[in-house]
Amino acid sequence: MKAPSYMATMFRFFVLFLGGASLVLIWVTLESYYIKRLSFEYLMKFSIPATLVLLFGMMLTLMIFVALRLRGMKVILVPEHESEKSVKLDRVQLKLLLRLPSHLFWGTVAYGGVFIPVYHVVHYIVEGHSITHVDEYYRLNFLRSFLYEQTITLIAAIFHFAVSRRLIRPLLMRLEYVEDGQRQFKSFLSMLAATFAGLLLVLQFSILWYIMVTIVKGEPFELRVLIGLVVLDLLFAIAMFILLSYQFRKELVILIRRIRDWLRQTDSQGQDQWHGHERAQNQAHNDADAGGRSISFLPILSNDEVGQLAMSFNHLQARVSREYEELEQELRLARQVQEQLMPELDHFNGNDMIEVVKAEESSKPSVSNVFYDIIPWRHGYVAVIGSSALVGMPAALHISAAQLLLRAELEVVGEQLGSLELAELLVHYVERLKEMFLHQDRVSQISLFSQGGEISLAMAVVDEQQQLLRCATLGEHAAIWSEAVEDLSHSELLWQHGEVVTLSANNNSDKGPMKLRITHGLEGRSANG
Amino acid sequence: MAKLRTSSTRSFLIPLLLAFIGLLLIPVALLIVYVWYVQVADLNWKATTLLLVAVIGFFVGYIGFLQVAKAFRRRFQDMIGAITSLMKGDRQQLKGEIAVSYSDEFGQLGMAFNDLQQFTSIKYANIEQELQLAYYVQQSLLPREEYELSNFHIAAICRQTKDVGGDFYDIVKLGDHKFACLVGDVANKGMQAALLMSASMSLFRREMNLGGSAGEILTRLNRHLYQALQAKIFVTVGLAIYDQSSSEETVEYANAGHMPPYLLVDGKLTDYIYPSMPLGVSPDSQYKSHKIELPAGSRFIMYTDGMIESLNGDGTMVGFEGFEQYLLQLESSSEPLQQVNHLMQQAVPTVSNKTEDDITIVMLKRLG
Repeated sequence: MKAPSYMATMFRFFVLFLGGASLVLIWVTLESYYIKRLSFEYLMKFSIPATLVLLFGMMLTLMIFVALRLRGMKVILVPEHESEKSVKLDRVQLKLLLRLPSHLFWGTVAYGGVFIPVYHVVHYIVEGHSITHVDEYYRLNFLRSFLYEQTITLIAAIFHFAVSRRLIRPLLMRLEYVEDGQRQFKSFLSMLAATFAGLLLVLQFSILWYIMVTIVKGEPFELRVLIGLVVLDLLFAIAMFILLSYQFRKELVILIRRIRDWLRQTDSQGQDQWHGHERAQNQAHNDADAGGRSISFLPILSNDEVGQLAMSFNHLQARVSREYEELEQELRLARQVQEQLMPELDHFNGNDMIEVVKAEESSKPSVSNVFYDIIPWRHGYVAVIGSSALVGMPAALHISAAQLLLRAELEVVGEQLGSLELAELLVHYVERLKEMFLHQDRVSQISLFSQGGEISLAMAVVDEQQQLLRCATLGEHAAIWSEAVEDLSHSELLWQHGEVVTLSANNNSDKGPMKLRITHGLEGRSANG
Repeated sequence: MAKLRTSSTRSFLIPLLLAFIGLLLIPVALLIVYVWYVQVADLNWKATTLLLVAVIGFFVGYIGFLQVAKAFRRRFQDMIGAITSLMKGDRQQLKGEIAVSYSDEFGQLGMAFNDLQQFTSIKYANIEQELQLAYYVQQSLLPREEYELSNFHIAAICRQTKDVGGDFYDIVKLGDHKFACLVGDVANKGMQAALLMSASMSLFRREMNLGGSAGEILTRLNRHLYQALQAKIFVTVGLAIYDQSSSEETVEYANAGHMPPYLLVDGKLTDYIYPSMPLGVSPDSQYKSHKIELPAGSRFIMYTDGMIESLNGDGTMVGFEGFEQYLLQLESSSEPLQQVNHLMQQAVPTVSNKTEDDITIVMLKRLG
């Protein structure tokens, strides 16, 4: 919904107050003509001009009030072509904007409460009566007029409330969601009750005054006229009530539509490529990549239950968003811990036997299911790459334990590393690892290994003294590749999957540089892809 | 994504408007009937009667409409209440759906809300599954909660504040009359702590198998962890080893920056404070073994700082004094598992079972 400009908004409020004033003028004129049986000529002498002055004063007062209220909110009152973006409004201004309809309501009621008695006093004096001696008829007439015209003012106030609620909606729709747990809402119940009471009083007063006038003036009572009055009042009451309750319906429909539109939009974005769960997940990633808001917030359209409902909804959405942002943050921190457990690769740059190439990391917050380690020993280095068949946090739990255990094991092996059969060493190590995880008294029957937590390892022992490179692998995902004999096009495929770590060691083999590469998720592929 | 649900549109405006018209007509009809009666019966007007009929009619209509308006407001309140109650729950409940009881705009809004909740559930399904599996993996690392080893009855409980956490305990049987009992706490919470928890546990089990005194085991464990952590993250640990063959009445205890354990004998409480560095802080830290006498019937309690930092019902921290009070109030005759569960309930009294920090309690009760 596009927001109107400041001038356009002021014009709309002017039309609203003009409508409210016209409603009062028409109603009191018809009442004077049909119920009080006063002639049009008589009304033109004082009543109609004085009422016009009063209503002009009301319009002017309310216009000044609205102009002052909206002056500080020009940020949301920009020309339509510039109003596509969401804008922020501070808490106080938002509160004032939301309360504008109810302030107009009370402003109208208060204006009537002050100036209607003034009007009658002036009218009384203008007709040449003494203010010190008010006769019985005029006293009764004062009371009748005051009550009846106050009720008409109440109807005008409800009209101002209902329509101004509609007028500020485009402005509220533009506002960004700001979490505010302190906001106090008021119930619409009093407004609905006041509307009913006001309209019912108009009906009852019309009947009562008609009867009173016939009695006082000694005119014949006509049921036909009475029924006509009731029908007219009833139609007016229905119109007023529809005007008010329609605003509630409209606001609810806006909330429904906002959610539906958001869901349809997210649904259609991935329609061609994704289905079912994948589509929602894809959308989640798109939102995160775009740095945009991945949830739908509802506009706060009023200061009553409608606004409270939207606010509750927004709080829930914000809470869900925050929970998962925290999880993502945790994943990032866990990833940092993982990185910390890995050796610093800078140490090995410049080494003539080892060259370390690490795959680019995914920008998505996730933990790795791969570890690498380069551990110095007496004659050179041990280079290891390990991978868990699991993914995410379960895999991360697995490999962090595996990595630290491997370091401890290799420390014990120490000097013997040069003469040990590497494949046997790996088998021994994995058995030890399983012992650690398959605790005989574990609480849960769910074992890491029964969940597919098998680990794959590739190990190379670099003997710098003898210029010797020995390798061993274990597990389905481990592979040793030699660039000299393998099809390099396969490498491109591997790199797409992100979690690829390549360690290369130069040696004198006629096969050229050997590469150790651990892969994940390429089970069953042959060496040529 | 789930198909968007829609319902036939039956606006709430129609019943509301009908109620409005009906309740408006009642007082009007009362007045008209009275006026008609006066006319037909050719009676004199009585202003008070006329006014009374009007007032009665007004209140009948007004009270009736107030009830209708309240019922209308209840629809909003039901929905606001349902959403608010979702917020009181944990992460799973946040994505829950609300009951849709109406077929008008409120029903449509409820269904739209539920569709959105379903979308959210699907969107985060992967990470939830992953976390659940991580939870099971971590739980599978912990031994069961109750043991009878040698002449000891041992009970342990570990409650993580998040899906996974950094607290851990281990009970390792090292022979018919020897066992080791460890309580540890990785600094930080959540996933990052969990990574080091699994690594610390696997290293501990390895070092236990290699043998040595409690102090020697912690010294070796520290060296491995320091190499990995480089003093960026630390782990506090309390390790008790019982060997009946060397001494029937003593336990060998070593501490690495951990909470002082308590010994409870005949209603008297003693804490054992051994100042020491946590694991992973310094490469050269040496840890000493201390002998603690455990007479028959005594209870030896090891725990993590989450217990001390937990909050009482009034929001104040339990603290050491509070924890000591809890310990002194324990029924010495009850099973150790009941006792540690009771302690945990004191620390986590809320329904949600969520704590500010992970809490672990291990109790060794020496049998006669």
